Amino acid sequence: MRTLCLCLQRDAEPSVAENFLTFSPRVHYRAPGLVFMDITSTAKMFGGEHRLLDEALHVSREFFADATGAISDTPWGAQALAAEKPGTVSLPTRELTDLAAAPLSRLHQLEGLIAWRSNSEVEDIVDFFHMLGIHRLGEIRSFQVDAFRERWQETGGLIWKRLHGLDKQVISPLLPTEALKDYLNLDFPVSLLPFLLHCLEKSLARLMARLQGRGEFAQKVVLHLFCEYSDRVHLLELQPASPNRNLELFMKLLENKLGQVSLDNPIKQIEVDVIPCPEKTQQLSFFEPRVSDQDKLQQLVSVFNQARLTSGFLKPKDEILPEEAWEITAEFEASEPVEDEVEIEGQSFQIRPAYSMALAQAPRPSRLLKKPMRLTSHDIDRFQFLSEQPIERMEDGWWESSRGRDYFFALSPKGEFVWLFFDRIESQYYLHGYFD
Amino acid sequence: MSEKTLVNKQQRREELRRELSAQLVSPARVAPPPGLSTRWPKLDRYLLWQGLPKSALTLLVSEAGGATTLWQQSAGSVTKNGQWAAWIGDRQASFTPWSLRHRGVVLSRLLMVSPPSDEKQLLWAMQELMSLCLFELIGCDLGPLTLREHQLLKLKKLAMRYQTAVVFVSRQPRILKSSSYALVLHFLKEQVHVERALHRPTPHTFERRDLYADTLPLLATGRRALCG
Repeated sequence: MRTLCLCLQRDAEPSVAENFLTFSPRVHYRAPGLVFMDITSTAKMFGGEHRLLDEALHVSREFFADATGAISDTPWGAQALAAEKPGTVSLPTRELTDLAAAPLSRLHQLEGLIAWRSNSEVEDIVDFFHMLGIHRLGEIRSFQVDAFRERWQETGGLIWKRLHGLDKQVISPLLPTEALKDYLNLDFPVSLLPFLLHCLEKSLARLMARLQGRGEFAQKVVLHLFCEYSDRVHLLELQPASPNRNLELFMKLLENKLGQVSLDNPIKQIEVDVIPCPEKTQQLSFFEPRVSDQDKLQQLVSVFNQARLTSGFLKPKDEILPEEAWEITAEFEASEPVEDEVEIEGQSFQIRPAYSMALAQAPRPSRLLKKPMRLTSHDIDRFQFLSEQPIERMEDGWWESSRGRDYFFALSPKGEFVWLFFDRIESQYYLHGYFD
Repeated sequence: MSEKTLVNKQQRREELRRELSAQLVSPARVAPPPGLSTRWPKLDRYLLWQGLPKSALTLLVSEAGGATTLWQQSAGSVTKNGQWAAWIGDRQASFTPWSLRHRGVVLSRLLMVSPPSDEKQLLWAMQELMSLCLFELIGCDLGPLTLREHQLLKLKKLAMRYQTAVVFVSRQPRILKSSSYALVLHFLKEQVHVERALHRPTPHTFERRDLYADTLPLLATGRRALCG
C-alpha cells in the first residue's frame, strides 16, 4: 500500500480530513495534526506520486502554512519520513533502506494510524540503545524479536515488526458524516465590519475546502451572530441563485448582508452552518476559460437576489394576455419557435397548424405597462386613434379572467405612440403600452 | 493687420509644419473615441463616437417617447456581436421580449434587472454591473429617481474605468442635465434635440420620423399577419 502522510504541524479538527478526499477516498486523521491517505490507486490520476504530494501540500498549506509530507509504503514509514526528510517519495520496497540512516529518535514517529501507548516507553528504548552506542534505526534491525519483546513487551514487538516491514495498517474509506458547521469564539467582541468579515472569511474558507473534498456545493449558508449584550442573536441566510462553493461570492453576499446589520452590540460568538447539496459536474473544454460569463452572471444574479432585485433573462410564455406572456428566469432558457407540426404515420400524414405562429410577428409595444391603466372618457377624447376598427382582438376562454380585448393604436397628446384596448365586458378603455 | 505680421505668421506656421510633420496625421486617419451604433445613421454620423459613447454617460429625455427604441436598437447591435447588455427597468412598465426581438436584440445576451428602491441602491446595482467587466451597454430607466451631481460623477468615473456605455432614460423634462453627461438627447413630438454632445455644435435638431421608420412597416406586417 502506498501511503501519503501529511504532517500539519499543529492540532486540527478531525473534519480536516475531508479536505483531502479529492486525493483518495481512503483518508484518516490522527491527532496531533497527521493525515494519512492511501494513494495506491489514485496517484496515476494526478500524474504520479510527486505531483500528488505537491498538490496535497498546496491544499494543506492554505490553512497550515508549515505542513510537510512524504510518501512511503506504510503509514508509519511515511510519518517517519515526513519528519526526517520532508517531501520525500520513497520508492516501493525501499522504505526500510531510506529509514536506515535516520536517528533512533525517529522511533517516536514510527507509529502510523495508532499513536504509541506512551511516549516515555519509546524514550526508554531510545535511551537504552544510545547506551549501547547504537544511534541509527538501521542498526537495531539485527536484534532478535525475542530481545525486543522480553524487554519492552508489546511495544518492543511492534517496533521490531515495523523495522522488518511485517506489520500492516489499513486505511479505511472516510465517510464524511460530520455536520458542515463552524463555531467561532472571539476573544474580543467585534463591532467593526471589516474585522468581522476577516474572521468569517477563514471560517467560510475552511467550510468551502471541506465541501470541495466532499464533492458538494453549498445550497445555503446560515450564520448565527451572538451579541455580547442582551442575548441578542442576528440570523443571516446566504442563498446564491444556484448552489456553488465560490468563497468570493459568499463573502460578497455576506458583506452586503452584514452591511444591513447594526453592530452596535458587538459580536462575541459566531456559528456558521452550511446546507450542502450534490455538486453539478461539468466537462469543460481545454480552451474554455475556467470562469465563464455565465459564472460571472450567476454570481451577479445571486448578489442582486439577496438585495431583493430580480434579475435574469426574458423568457416568452405560452399565455394569451400580453402582461402574462413572459417571465424573468435566472438562467437563459431558449424558447422553441412556434411551427406547424407534421405527423407521419405509414402512408398518411397529418398537419397540425400552429395558429399562434402569426402572433410572433404581431406588433407589440416596447414598454408594456405592468398593470393596464384605466382611461376616463376625458382621456380618450385626447387620444388620436389611428384606426376605427381594432387592430387585434384577444379572447380567452370564458372560464379564464379574460373578458375580450380589442386593441388599438393611438397617439397621445404628448405625441407618444401608444397601445390601448377596449374591455368589451366593462366597456372601458385601458392604456397598455408605449411604442416608445 | 500689417503685411509684416501676416508674413511672420505664415513663416511661423511653415516652421511648425516642418517641425511637427512627422507626428501629424490626416483628419481621416484619426480614430474616433469608441461608441455603440444606434442604427440611426443620421445620429451616428453626427456624433463624435458614431453612436452612444462608451466610457461615458448618456441621458435620453423621452418626453414624447422614442428613447426606448433608440436604446433597444443599440442593444441589438451590441448583442448581435456576442457582447452583453443590461437594462435596469422602472416600476410602471417593462420591456417585452417581442419588441426586443423585432429590434434584433439577442435575448440570451440581455440581462434584465428590476427597478431599485432608491438612488443608493441604483448606484450600488450599477457599480456591481460595471465591475463585472462584462457589459458593453447598461441602460437604466430612472423613473421617479433623480441622480445628483456627485452620484453622476461617481458613475462617470466607473464608466470610464470599466469602459461601459451607461445610458439613462427619463421622462422628466426638467431632469438635471449635468455636465457629467457626454451626450444628452431630448425626444420631443416631432424632433429630437441634441442638447449636449462633446465636440459637436449644439443644440442640434433631428426630425424624428426616421426613428419610427421601422415601426410603421412592422405594424403593417403585423396587421397582415393577424388578418391572415
